[in-house]
Parts: sequence; structure tokens; C-alpha cells
Amino acid sequence: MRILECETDERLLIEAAQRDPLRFAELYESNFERVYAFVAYRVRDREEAQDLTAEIFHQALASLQRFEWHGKPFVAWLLGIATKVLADRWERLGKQQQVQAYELEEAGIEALVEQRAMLFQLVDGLPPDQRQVIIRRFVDQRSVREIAQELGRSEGAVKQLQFRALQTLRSQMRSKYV
Amino acid sequence: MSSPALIEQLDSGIDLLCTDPDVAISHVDATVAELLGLAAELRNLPHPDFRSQLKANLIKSALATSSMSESPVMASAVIGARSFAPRRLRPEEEQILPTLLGQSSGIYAARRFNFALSVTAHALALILIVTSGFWMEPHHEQRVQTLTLIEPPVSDYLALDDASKSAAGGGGSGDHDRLQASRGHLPERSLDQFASPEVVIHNGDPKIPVEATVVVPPQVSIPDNRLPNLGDLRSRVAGPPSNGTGYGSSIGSGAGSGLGGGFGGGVGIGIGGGYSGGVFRVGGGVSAPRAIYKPDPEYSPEARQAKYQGTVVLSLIVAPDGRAHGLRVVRSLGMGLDEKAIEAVREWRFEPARKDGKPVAVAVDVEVNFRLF
Repeated sequence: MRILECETDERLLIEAAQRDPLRFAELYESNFERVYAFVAYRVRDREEAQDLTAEIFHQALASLQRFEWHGKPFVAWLLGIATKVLADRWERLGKQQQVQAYELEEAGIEALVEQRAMLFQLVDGLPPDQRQVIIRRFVDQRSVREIAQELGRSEGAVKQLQFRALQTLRSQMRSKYV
Repeated sequence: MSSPALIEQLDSGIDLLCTDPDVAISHVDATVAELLGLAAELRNLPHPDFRSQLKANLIKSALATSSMSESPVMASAVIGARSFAPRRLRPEEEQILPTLLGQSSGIYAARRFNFALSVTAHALALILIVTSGFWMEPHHEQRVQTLTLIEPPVSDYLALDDASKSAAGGGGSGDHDRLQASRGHLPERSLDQFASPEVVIHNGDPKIPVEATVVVPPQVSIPDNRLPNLGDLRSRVAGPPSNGTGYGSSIGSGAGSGLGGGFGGGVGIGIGGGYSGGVFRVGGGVSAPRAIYKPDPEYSPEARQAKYQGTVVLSLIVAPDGRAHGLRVVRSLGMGLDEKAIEAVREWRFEPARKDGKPVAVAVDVEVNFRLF
């Protein structure tokens, strides 16, 4: 996730993307984790969260020409689309009552989403062996034994890598927010 | 609590989280509890390739809806130049084809069995392709020529190109006289005989005068004498003039229209046209010729298509200049291969046979093998 330095940069980038849709890729890179974290916070299933995230960005690209700059961050516009997409989803599922709980103004939501987005980004920066263990353990839902067989290491070594990876993430998260 | 114990406690907690996301884990170390909080968040970690795949899909959509006047090629260049600015590769991306190692490359995990099946199938296909060259029927032909010098026959005589199929040429007849044919010079030689030679002329006033000839190729050199009268070259009888003891209307002791003791229109004691003693056979002091230049014969198209193989036997005379003359098919193969064999052997060059150290013409048979490999 690339944090845009200032509003001016983001505004220029949005205007560039409105002229040239290919520039939307840069906006996507800057906001992917936050949008995905926002969706994943409300949808527990990873595959569904990925599908909804894809739908949100496609809608954003399609309606980018209608975006008007009012001084709010671009991610707010994206999360607005996400809210509508989620509402549509719950409506399709007949669970309208849950939509109300996902208002952006809900206390603490933004911070949680931001933290989770940061965590997802930090995973990419882990050492390769630690990252591989985290991916296999939490994304692929593999057991320690399966990972050990796959990587050709002992179960103890895999557990230790898992432990170190989480410790690394914890320390990096602390350094970001302290 | 020791570090190994914390590691085990963390792993047990993660196992519980993976089994039941809503489980409340208590009685754990504070450090482990904090790490388990992160682990709970990581359960929603997106698939590593999802981000890049979604980006690629968005780029496709952007290209489709782009109002740019740039061509797709230009658009691709734009993507490469600015939208897809170089970024740090992930470990999976740094590997070339991670599925080669059974790792997932897309948003779906690679199944090891399918991966192994795919590798096996591709390996078998590759082996099949590589080894097909060994067991497939070859399409190129390799021609093998063998020069076979067949042992000479008992006869010392040889039929020439235009002679009959007998081994040697010869001819002769006579008036059934008691006297041997008288010696004299050789008549004119021609391949077509209209009148047979006579020493004693029976019809002195023919309605159509035709010069008497013997059936001998004009190019054959025959030692002649300078006697004024016609007669038998080899006769020891100088006179009186006689047509000889043979049967027919010519000169000699044989039968036919030629000259000498043979049968036919030629000269000598053979059968048919030609002249006995013009060409040598290998053996008896005559060395064998040796082919020194043998261009390959071509395969005729129909024989190649039919994958026809075999051997053509040619009879020929190797002249003192090393060239092949009088080529004649002794054993035919057909399908145009006879002609191809003659065409090729006609170009061959020989080291001529020698007799008493001098090059001499010699008759040989040559086998030309046509084989497809």
C-alpha cells in the first residue's frame, strides 16, 4: 500500500485516471488493502471477500468519470461503493438488517480496517520462509505437518517459523502505531 | 514460560482458531494471546495472487473502455511503462513457474496429484516426440551401389550391344561345298543386312544390286586383310574361290547369312550378329576394371512412393578409356529403376581392365542395389 503524500498528489492521480483509465492501476495499488480489509471485516469467507473486492474496484473503474473531488480521500469514495456492494449482497441474501451495522461512521471501524490493511501489507514484507508458512497456514489452511512435508522441514521448525513470523508482525505493527 | 512451550501453545491456539473462528481461547500466555489476535486477523488474509490478478483484470477493463486513441500495442506499452511500474517481486513470483514445485500459482491451491499427473503426461509426450525419430519409418533413402564382377563364362566370346542374345556373335554359311571357304577381305559391316556376302556369286545380275554386308556394328574394329577378293578372314585356304562347307548363301562353314563358322549374320564362330573376340572377359590374364567414380543413382518417384527396393543387374563393356558402353539390363527391377540405374552407371568412370599391362575393353556385369532405409 502506497500512502499518497498529500491530497494534491491523490487529486492529480485521480484526474489522470479520469483522462486515462490505465492510470487507475495506481489508485488500485494505493487502496487495495484498505478496501479488502473493509470487506473482509464484514465477510468472513475469503473467496467471497475477494469476489466482492473485485466487484468494488470494477464498479469504481466504471464510475470513475463521475467522481468529483470534494476534499475527501479517494478511499472514502471506494468504501462508499463497498458499502453499497455489501448492502446489495445482503439484500440478495435477505439479510437487510445487517446493513445498518456496517456504516462507516461506526465507532472504531476505520481504525480496525486500517490496522488490518496494515497487517496484510506487512505480511508481504516478511522473510520468504516465514511468509510462506503464514500463507500456507492461514490462506491454504494447511496443518503444520503438511507444511513441514511440503517444505521438507521438521514440524518444530515450521512451528518456530510461524512463531517468529507472528512476532515480527506484532513488532512491526507496534512500531507503526506507537 | 519457555520459548518452546510458547511455540506449542501458539500452534495449538492457531489450530483451534482454524477449526472454529469464534472460539474463545483462554488460559494462555499474554504474548501468545497477542499473537493469536494477529493470527485471527490473518485468517482473512487475501490469497497472494489475488491482488495481481485483480489488477490485471482491471487493466483489461480499462483497455476495453479506454477512450485513448492509442492502439492496443501502445496501450500495452503504457501499462508497462507507468501503470505497471516495477515493484518488488514476491517470493513466489521470483520463482519460475512455482507450480513446478507443486506450489500454488493462482488463487486456487495446486493439487499435488494433478500436478504430478500433468508432469508425467508432459514427460511421456516429450519422450514420445524425442524417440519418434528412432522408430518412425525413415523417409530418406540411402542408395547402395555394389560393383559385382561376375566370373567370365567359358566362352571367350561376347555379344555386343546390337547382337543377338547369344554369348558371342558369329555367322556363316556356304554352298555345302567340299572346299573350305577361301580367304579374303571382310565385307562391309552394317547392322542391317540386305544381302549376304558370297565369294562365288550365284546371281550375277540381281534386279536390285545391294552391297553385301555382315551384321557387325560399324564401330567395332576388326583386323582385316588386304586381299582383293571377299572371303573368310581366318581361312587358311587361299583358293580356289569357295563359299565354304556350310549351309546357306554366305561364306563359311556355319549356317546363316554371315561369315565364318557360326550361326547368324555376324562374323566368326558365334551365334547371331557381331564379331567374336572383340571384347575381353575378366580372368585369364585380364584384370578386372575398378570403379573409381560412382555417382549415386536417383530413385524414381513411383518407386519411392511405393517404397520399392531391389537390385538391377546391368551388363556393360568397360572401354579402355574407363567409360561404360553397351549398357544392357540383365535383371530388370521396373518402376523406372532400370533407367535410373543405366543413367547412373553411364556416368561411372572405371580404371580399365588390363591385359599384358595395356588397357583393354572388358565385359562385366554390375549390380545396382536400390534400398530404402
